[in-house]
This record gives sequence, structure tokens and C-alpha cells, in this order.
Amino acid sequence: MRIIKNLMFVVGVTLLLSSCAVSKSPLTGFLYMDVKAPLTATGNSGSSKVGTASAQSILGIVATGDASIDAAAKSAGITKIHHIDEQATSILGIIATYKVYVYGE
Amino acid sequence: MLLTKFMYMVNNHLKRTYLVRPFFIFFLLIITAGVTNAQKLSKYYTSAMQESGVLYFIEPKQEFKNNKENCKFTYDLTYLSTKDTVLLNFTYLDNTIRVIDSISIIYGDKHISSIAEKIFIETDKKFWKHRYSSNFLFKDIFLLFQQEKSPIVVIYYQDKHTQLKIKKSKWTKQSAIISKILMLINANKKTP
Repeated sequence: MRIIKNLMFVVGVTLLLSSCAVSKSPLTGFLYMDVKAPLTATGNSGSSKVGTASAQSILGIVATGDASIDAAAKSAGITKIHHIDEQATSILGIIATYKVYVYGE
Repeated sequence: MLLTKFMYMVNNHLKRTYLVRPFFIFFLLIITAGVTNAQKLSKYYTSAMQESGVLYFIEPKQEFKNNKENCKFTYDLTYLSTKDTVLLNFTYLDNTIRVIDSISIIYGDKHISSIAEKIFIETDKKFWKHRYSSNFLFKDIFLLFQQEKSPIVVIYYQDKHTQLKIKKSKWTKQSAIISKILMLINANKKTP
């Protein structure tokens, strides 16, 4: 019983001291989030390529990745950007991902 | 005496239930979120409607590997509904820099190949990250994901080659999702 109490104390303190993993999004969902939204659009016409780039966060403690527009465009060899979408996912505030989709030529 | 003992047992039982319940609810939430997440087909592709047709982008999660040579291969598929070809962009991780000429996919008794065009090469921790682009016919890619047997990816560079494989269980999961998306794309094609 003492072990369970100690374990619960450690988990509780960890959760209280650390913020949850949250990703930039127009809407928020604490339990589960999978939202796709527009980021920007340009005057260039048409797109035949799609490039992505993402960054992840664990428990809001560690966050890594390169979710820049440049990285996403580079991944598909896009030089003329048509429009950009973003996607934010989060599961119980434990793992959060932010992803950028670049459409262009 | 008996009543005190009984009260103690009930108290203990209540305490245990009180302590265990949050954990149970927490794990139940994780499982529910996981299951809901896994069932969504839209998680694996995006589509954008435009003047020149519908642009589909499919991004499989599983990777091909060659454990002996310590190489990894990941890919994504881009398809414009008015075209016959699928753009396969891939990332190939190797210990040394390679000048990749072409890529082949072997499935069943069929063998499809394409010239690989370089997008960029950069470092990724201890690996060299090669980002290349290739084109395949839509019907060949459609057939590839109908296969039950896992395919082999062959990367050709300077008269040498590397074979990369995927685990049967990973392929079964991946091919089921991608073939469903390709069926969806096929069904949405405009008939002339």
C-alpha cells in the first residue's frame, strides 16, 4: 500500500510540476485533439507537390523538431508555394505533434 | 471485536478501490484515444481540390530497413487526379553519401523501376539523409499495395545497390490502409 501511495505521489507531483503537451491550434481538446487548419495562401496558381515538416512535444517537458515552412517546402523540392495548412494532434496531453503541409510547385 | 475487524476490512477495500480507480480510468482513456486514432483513414492522407484536379498526399508511417548495412527508407506519395503517374518522394538514410541513380520495387513476380532525382542531401545525427524523387504509374502503385507479400525496395547507386525490407506485420497494416486510400482515389476519378 505504501508503494502505491508513494508512486501516486510521484506521478501527481510530476503532473503538477509539468505542464501538458499542447500544440498550436485554433481549437483545443484536452483528452484528444486532431485539428487541421489553414495557415496561409499565396497568389501562385496550382500545386503538384506536397511537403511536410513536424515537431513533437512529450508531456510539455521536451519538445523537438523542425516544423518550419522552409523545411516542409524543401522536403518536396517546392519553390513556388500555393498554400499552407497546419495540423495539431495531442493525446491526453502526453504526446503532442505540430505538422505543417506546404502545397506548391 | 468481529465488528472492528469487519470494519477494518471494508475500510481497506474502499481505500484500495479509491487508489486504483484513477489509474484504471487513465489507462481506459489512453486505450480509447488510441483506438479512435487508429481507425481514422484521414490521418494517413490529405486532399486538396484545385483547377488542375484533386491533389492527394499519402504518408505511410512504417519504414523499410536493411539492418546489415544499417540503412533506412521512408517515403510519401503525391498524386494529382488528372495525371497517370504517382510522385514518390523518399528519404534514404545511410552511413555514407551515395549518388542514387534509380529505385526499384520488387513485389510478387513484378519489378517496377524509376530514375531518382535528387532534392537534397544533408546530415541527420550519424546518418546521411538523402532526399530523392521518383515517378511511378498509378496502376503499378495500386497493384503494389494489393500484395499480401511484403515488397523489397532496391536503391541503386554507382554500380552497387542496397535492398531494404519491411516486416510482414507492418506491411499488412500499411498496405491495408494505403490500398483503401488508393481505392478511394480511383473511385473519385472522373470518367471521360
